[in-house]
Amino acid sequence: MNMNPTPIARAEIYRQVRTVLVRHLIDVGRLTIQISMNHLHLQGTLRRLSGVTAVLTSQNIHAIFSELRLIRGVRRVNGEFDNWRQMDDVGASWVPITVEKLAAPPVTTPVGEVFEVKEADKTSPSAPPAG
Amino acid sequence: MRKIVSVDDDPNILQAFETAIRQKGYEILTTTDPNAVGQILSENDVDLLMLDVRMPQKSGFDIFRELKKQAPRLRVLFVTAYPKSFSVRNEDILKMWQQDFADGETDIMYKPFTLDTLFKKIEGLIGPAGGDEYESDTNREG
Repeated sequence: MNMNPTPIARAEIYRQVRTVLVRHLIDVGRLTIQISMNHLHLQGTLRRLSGVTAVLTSQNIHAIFSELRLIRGVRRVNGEFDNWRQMDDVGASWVPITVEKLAAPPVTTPVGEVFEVKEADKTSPSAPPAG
Repeated sequence: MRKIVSVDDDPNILQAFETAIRQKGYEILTTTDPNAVGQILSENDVDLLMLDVRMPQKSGFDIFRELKKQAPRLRVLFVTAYPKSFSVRNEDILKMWQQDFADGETDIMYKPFTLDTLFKKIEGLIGPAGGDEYESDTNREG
């Protein structure tokens, strides 16, 4: 039995996937979508649009994935996100990936020397404008 | 051959798009003039419109709203360096998102981006270059 979606069906799958993501106010600009062999693969950063106050939760992600699996032609949904990962067991929770800032090394000065921070040194250069 | 129209006020961006997209096998027309888009679309059978959001003469959102009335099924890829352009704190954006994006014919790509992302976005909207239909998975490894 051929499990591949027809060419037209693939176009429709892509469209329906975007429809689900948009309905959940997911920022589609941070994701790429790929469909192959009835397998939907989402990659990138999974987050809501700027300005959405509701926090994205593991339950929300499960709900979104459940909707995506209901799309005709989709049998499996896989998410590869840089800010969420799924625990190892089947149907497991999604957990946010937190990036811990590395502690800066302590500033050491020779004994007896006064370490002075001038006002001008505290100012950081302004960030360049976005392109 | 699938035809793409790209609108951006930066000719260097358009040049980069033109080179990459043409090499991939799509046909591409470009313009820095947002007011020329309507005429280009009326004279060409266009599969995808790539729209910069922030342009001095007319915003990509304004063009999008105008064209959605004329061609509701037109597929659009917004390209912007400003993700906050899509902030739903702006009621117009929220309304546009809920009404005009809900059909799944629109996507967004943020700068900077890789060519891989560019082509995934384009293929997700209009399929691979060259065919009248989406490429079948039949010949791909599973």
